[in-house]
Amino acid sequence: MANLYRGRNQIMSFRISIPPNRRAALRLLSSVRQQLLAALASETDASGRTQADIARELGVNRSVISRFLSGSRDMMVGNLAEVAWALDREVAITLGEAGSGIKSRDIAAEAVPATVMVNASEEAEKYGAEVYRMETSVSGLTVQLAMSPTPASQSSPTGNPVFLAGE
Amino acid sequence: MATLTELQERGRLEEVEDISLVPGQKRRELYIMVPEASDDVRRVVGRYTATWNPSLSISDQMVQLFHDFISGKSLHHPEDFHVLLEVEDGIWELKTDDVRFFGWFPDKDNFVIATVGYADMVKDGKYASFISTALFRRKDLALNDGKFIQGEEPNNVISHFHTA
Repeated sequence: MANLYRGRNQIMSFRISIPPNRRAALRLLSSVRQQLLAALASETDASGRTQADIARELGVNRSVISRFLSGSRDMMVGNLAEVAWALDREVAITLGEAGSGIKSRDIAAEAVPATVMVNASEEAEKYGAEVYRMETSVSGLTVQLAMSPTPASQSSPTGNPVFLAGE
Repeated sequence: MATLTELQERGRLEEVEDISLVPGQKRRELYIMVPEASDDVRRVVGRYTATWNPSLSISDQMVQLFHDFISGKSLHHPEDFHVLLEVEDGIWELKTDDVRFFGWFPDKDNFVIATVGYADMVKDGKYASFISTALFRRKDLALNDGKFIQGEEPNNVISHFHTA
């Protein structure tokens, strides 16, 4: 529901309130989108393959790929892996330990932002991967999404077994 | 001539806030006309259901778009879905699968939302009407004496359209 948030200063600000778990999901989708677009651009530059080629390889309509690559759909992790494969990428997702400084769950009431960090870890650089790390202030989960252009080992960049992120 | 700050102080404009961004992560600014466009948002959120992208609610789609815009992320979408499109006389359409925002850029990387519509309604013969509404509201607000960024390509109005 859209709420008019009364900021602490005289000048008002506008915000749409959604549950913090939804906000965390949207942040991850946004990150996935950025990576998929970058991967497609890189692949097109390198090999000339287009969205249509990707769709053909996966046996789906081009509009399906467009939606995946736009990141506006809440795709299943398996589908993400298939699209990544078609882009000559591999995906590794790990759940890390909860971050420090966990804030109140009720961030709709308090203007306390969730911590969002985007960086490349040293480990990921070793594998030529890009790692995006996002901490949520509610679930305490750290989700790392690594998309590597090189053939990945069976384990994640951290050496731990790869398993799927959950809610 | 009314500036952004003056219009905010008068309560005619509000800056759209993204609480997930820490200081330093904001790359662009998004404003919404009050009460015109803020009422539009409430109506669209309260009355309609996402149909073109049912995996994300109307609110989710708005929040995600606001986040991507304000944080400076790439708004480029592959081939057939233009998230940002110039429509007429400096009025731009910023959109999600199910929502359409019409407004203008008084400065580069600053967007003012003038009116908001549910996609299916906009597509149902109301497109010109939304554009007219946006043109009227821009003139009525008189921000910077109605000046706006000219240009037809997204790169004319925002930075890093293709790359984050």
